[in-house]
Amino acid sequence: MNATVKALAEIGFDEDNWGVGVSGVVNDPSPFPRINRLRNWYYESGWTVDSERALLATEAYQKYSDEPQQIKVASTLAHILRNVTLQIADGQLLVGDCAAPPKSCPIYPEFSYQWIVNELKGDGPPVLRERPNNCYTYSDKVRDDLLGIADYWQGKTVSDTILSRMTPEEMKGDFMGIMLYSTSLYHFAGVGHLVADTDRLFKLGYAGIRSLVQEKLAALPEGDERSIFYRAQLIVLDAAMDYIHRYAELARSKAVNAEGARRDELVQMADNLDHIAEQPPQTFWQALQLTHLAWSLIIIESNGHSVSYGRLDQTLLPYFQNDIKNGVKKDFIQEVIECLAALNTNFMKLRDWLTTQANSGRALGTSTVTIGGVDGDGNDATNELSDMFIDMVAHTRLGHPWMAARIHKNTPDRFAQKIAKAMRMGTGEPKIFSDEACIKAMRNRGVSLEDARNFVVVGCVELSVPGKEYGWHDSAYFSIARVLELAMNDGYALGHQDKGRLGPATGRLEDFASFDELKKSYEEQMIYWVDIHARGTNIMDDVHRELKPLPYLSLLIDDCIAKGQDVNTGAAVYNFTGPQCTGVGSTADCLSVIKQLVFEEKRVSAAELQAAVQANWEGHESLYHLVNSDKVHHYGNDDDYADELAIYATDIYCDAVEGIPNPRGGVFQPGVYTVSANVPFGMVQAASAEGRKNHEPLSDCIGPVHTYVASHDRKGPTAVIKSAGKLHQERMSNGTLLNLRFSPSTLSGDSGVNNLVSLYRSYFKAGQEMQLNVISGALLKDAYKNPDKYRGLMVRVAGYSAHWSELSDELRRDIMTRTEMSFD
Amino acid sequence: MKRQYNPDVAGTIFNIQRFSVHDGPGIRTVVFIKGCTLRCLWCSNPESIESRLQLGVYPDRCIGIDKCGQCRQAAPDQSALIVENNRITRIESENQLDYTVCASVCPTNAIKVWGQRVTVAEVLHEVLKDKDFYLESGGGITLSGGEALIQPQFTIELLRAARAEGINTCMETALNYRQKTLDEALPLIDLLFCDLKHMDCEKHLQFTAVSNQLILANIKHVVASGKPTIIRIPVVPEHNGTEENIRATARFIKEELNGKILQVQLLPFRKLGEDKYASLGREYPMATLVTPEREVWEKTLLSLAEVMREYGVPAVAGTNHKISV
Ligand code: SF4
Ligand code: SF4
Repeated sequence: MNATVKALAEIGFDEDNWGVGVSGVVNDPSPFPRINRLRNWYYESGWTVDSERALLATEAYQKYSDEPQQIKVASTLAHILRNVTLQIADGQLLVGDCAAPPKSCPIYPEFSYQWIVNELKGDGPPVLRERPNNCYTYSDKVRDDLLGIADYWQGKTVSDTILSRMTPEEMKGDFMGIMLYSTSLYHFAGVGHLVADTDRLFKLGYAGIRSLVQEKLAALPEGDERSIFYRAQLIVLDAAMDYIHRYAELARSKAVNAEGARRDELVQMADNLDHIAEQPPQTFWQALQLTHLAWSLIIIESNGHSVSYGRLDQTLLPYFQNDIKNGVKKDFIQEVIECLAALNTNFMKLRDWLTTQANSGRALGTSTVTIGGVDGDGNDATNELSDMFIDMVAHTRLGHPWMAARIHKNTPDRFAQKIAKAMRMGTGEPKIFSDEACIKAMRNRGVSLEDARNFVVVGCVELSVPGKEYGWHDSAYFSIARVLELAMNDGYALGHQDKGRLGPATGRLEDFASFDELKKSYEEQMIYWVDIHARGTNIMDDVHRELKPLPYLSLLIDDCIAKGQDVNTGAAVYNFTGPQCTGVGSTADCLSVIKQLVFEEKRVSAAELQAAVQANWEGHESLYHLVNSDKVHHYGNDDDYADELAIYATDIYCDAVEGIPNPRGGVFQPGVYTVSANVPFGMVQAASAEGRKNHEPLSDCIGPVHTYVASHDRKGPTAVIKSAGKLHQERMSNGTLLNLRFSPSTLSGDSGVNNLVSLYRSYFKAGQEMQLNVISGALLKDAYKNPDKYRGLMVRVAGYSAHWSELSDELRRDIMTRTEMSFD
Repeated sequence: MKRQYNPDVAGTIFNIQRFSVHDGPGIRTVVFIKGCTLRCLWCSNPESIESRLQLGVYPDRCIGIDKCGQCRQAAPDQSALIVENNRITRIESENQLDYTVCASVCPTNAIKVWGQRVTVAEVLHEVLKDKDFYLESGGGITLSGGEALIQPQFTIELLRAARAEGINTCMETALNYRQKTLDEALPLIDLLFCDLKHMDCEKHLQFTAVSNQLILANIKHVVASGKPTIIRIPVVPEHNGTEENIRATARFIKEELNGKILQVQLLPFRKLGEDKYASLGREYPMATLVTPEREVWEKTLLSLAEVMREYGVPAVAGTNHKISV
């Protein structure tokens, strides 16, 4: 019996059968004591904010203020890498932080700073270290350090510059206006959402890449502007190599005081680090270490979301096979893999107060490992390492890094079942993707067949080509439910009539003679709002290009080195901008209520319906319950009447988005998912005709509506899946997301596993992605009352899993009201 | 071409449930046929007992006659609607079905019609929606009740229709039916679930209002025919959930059926359906029954299954164990 099997047996599981829904219950899920220790450290230590990166960045910006922007940012990164304090956790086999101690948030003042100042002072939102949830502590010194640089950054940040360039028209619909859409993500932080090219790094090492850049520079004619780009790259390359050597030194100095096996480990780590600082990796341990460091440097440089690891079961496979041939124990490799989870979990990102209300969940999140799927020729590429990453999920249950499993029609049943078993553990990981549907969607955007087959998931559900794409995924959340509201009200937003007419004058529902007139109004509003949202997004794109070149990232994305251009300028092979719409179910049901009750059955007049909505349904209880009842066609029941309207609502959005040009020479591409933005987008919207009250969440992702009084889906998961599968997902190339919640009993036993596999295999003929919460309603209710009792309970929020105890109240309630798919 | 089934035959059902994973292999759609020949005290689907349509009233769901009152406006005679504390509590009329209009306007289903007249074609349309899932999972259609055979012509046409569409068929029956009808259905069924409520004739009569003679004869007949069969025992405390009865059942299976069944499923009784009784204006017969804690009862079930296995009977607790046909 190997260690894994033995230890699992000890905690009551055999290798094939993890318990169902026990994520919060098992104390030491890993067979490796060091992993359990690292895990316990994570649970026992607090979250903090760190000022070191911010201070170093400020020093460098001041010192290099006269340099060209590319040199300035390169020198800033170099300054941070050469001076930041490094850590190696006790027992860890891997190193690489985010320029801050574990569980501490680094600060990136060059992107945005005013909100941090406000939260440090408690100016508006609660004081950062006194937040009721998502609280971070820090010393008075850290606070004073951070406040001390506030004046310097005033007016210099990416955010300040974007604001100075936007016109009132471009702001009125954005988060600074009525929030019909929100571009806040890249307004305040970096872009990310990509996977770097490790092939070249593995082949050449940093030193080899340096020679390549050096050659390019030498070959340039005198006075060529691109020399600045290459010089910047050399600056960051030298710093990156120094940085890794610094970790080697630290490991060596720790080895001096260590004993026994740990001493040997530290010495080996030091040797590994010195080697990969310059040379290509030779072993699995080195290759994974280099992957992680290369990844962490992108984050330190770019403050990006969803910078992901890519297809680790493919990129690392040759090293795994070679190690095994050389007698390395598989258990040891498993242990190194689990160390990655423990390390990744400690990466933090500070989010503003408002964001945490809707998007809680700590940690950086968003760094995804993709496993399974086909290779470039379309053959199954699932292998032993794919299994080992699933084991990592089961053994660590930390929710990080995120795990995306690719499934295709030839995925071996054995692997498909293993995925199902992992999913029903209830941690929300992995989420699963359909090769067939995802590849088709990417092909629709002109991605080559070979590249599409190699797709990776970057963040929640966004699809990308590793090493070749700068996709600006997640560029904005865009509420089509709000578009419909304006389409019913002549361009006015409910609750904001004082702001005057915001959209074009397209008439009021009361005046429409037919349902078609409402559709026409919706279509006109859509084009208007999508267009100005794109203008705002493109301004951001310009500002990122000018203020925040990314010389390090540009080393690892094709064709930046070849072209001598920064990734921000459009030098990547694929350049997209991907906004995603929210409120699909809400919009479909709203349209359905109007079509059925107002225009067809004439059970209620348009004026009555509008009056009820404007009164937040008060005094209109009968109508409120009617629109929430099974007497109205609702999306999510495999009922063509309502499903056609969901298709219509999303098609109009896709029509408007597809093909809008961005400044990098690429185009906009639509995605349809909300992650958890359905909560804040609901918060800012008045009541709506599908039976939503003021400020209630919108429907999530591509799922059905669930309001305070009723879930609009009543026919179970097969019906939801079929409704979702009818949407034109091949157009939604920026990703789609389907959340399902099951009670554990539905998925228990062998038959439960088989049924889950059948469910997703059926959906995947048309659908791109699916993820589960497998938690009983009773347990959630108990966890709601006693969050502390469920410290380790992970729930799938939307694109991500988070610890229940860390979620905001709004979000907890939202998750509880999702329909539980069980008939037990 | 030979007509394989008659799509126009009509019957009365009280529910169609998709994604049913406990009533046969794979993902299934269960069609619940209305009407039953038994009257089990523990029945948790009182709306399934009578074949005719019925009205149910749920006062808790009524949002208040003052705020709504839709039912009143629609009612043929308003005085039949009994209102207490501003809510509809029942409908007092000889001709209940005249008041289905109230159900169709009620926004909260506080008034609802139990049962629905449908044709084979209509049921099939709904069932076929999940065909993809059946093919992936080895699932199909399950006919249940009430008593699945109580409307024999309808049930048999449904089975024929499913067969014609290449869908796996299961049927769940209490077997208190003429053998001739059973024989007509059997060839159309892939897997049969038979309920066995009690071995003692007297007790059977006491608890279900019918004797078990026909049932036992039928089950012998079915098993002898070679049809793959699963026996289900709803294990009710103080009723049939005694070791004595379980041993008697096991002996019967061993001796009279030669042990030739796929599985015996012991199903834990839980107090469900009380509100449905109330909606029909009926008392819940099990209201005073004291049921053990869920965990305790599940343990009891496991040990009862163990007892049956002493006799070589493939007994399991629950419905999640793999069925190999
Ligand atoms: S229609 Fe329904 S909700 Fe309205 S008053 Fe009658 S019973 Fe109550
Ligand atoms: S056989 Fe089933 S449906 Fe009929 S009375 Fe008994 S429990 Fe109810």
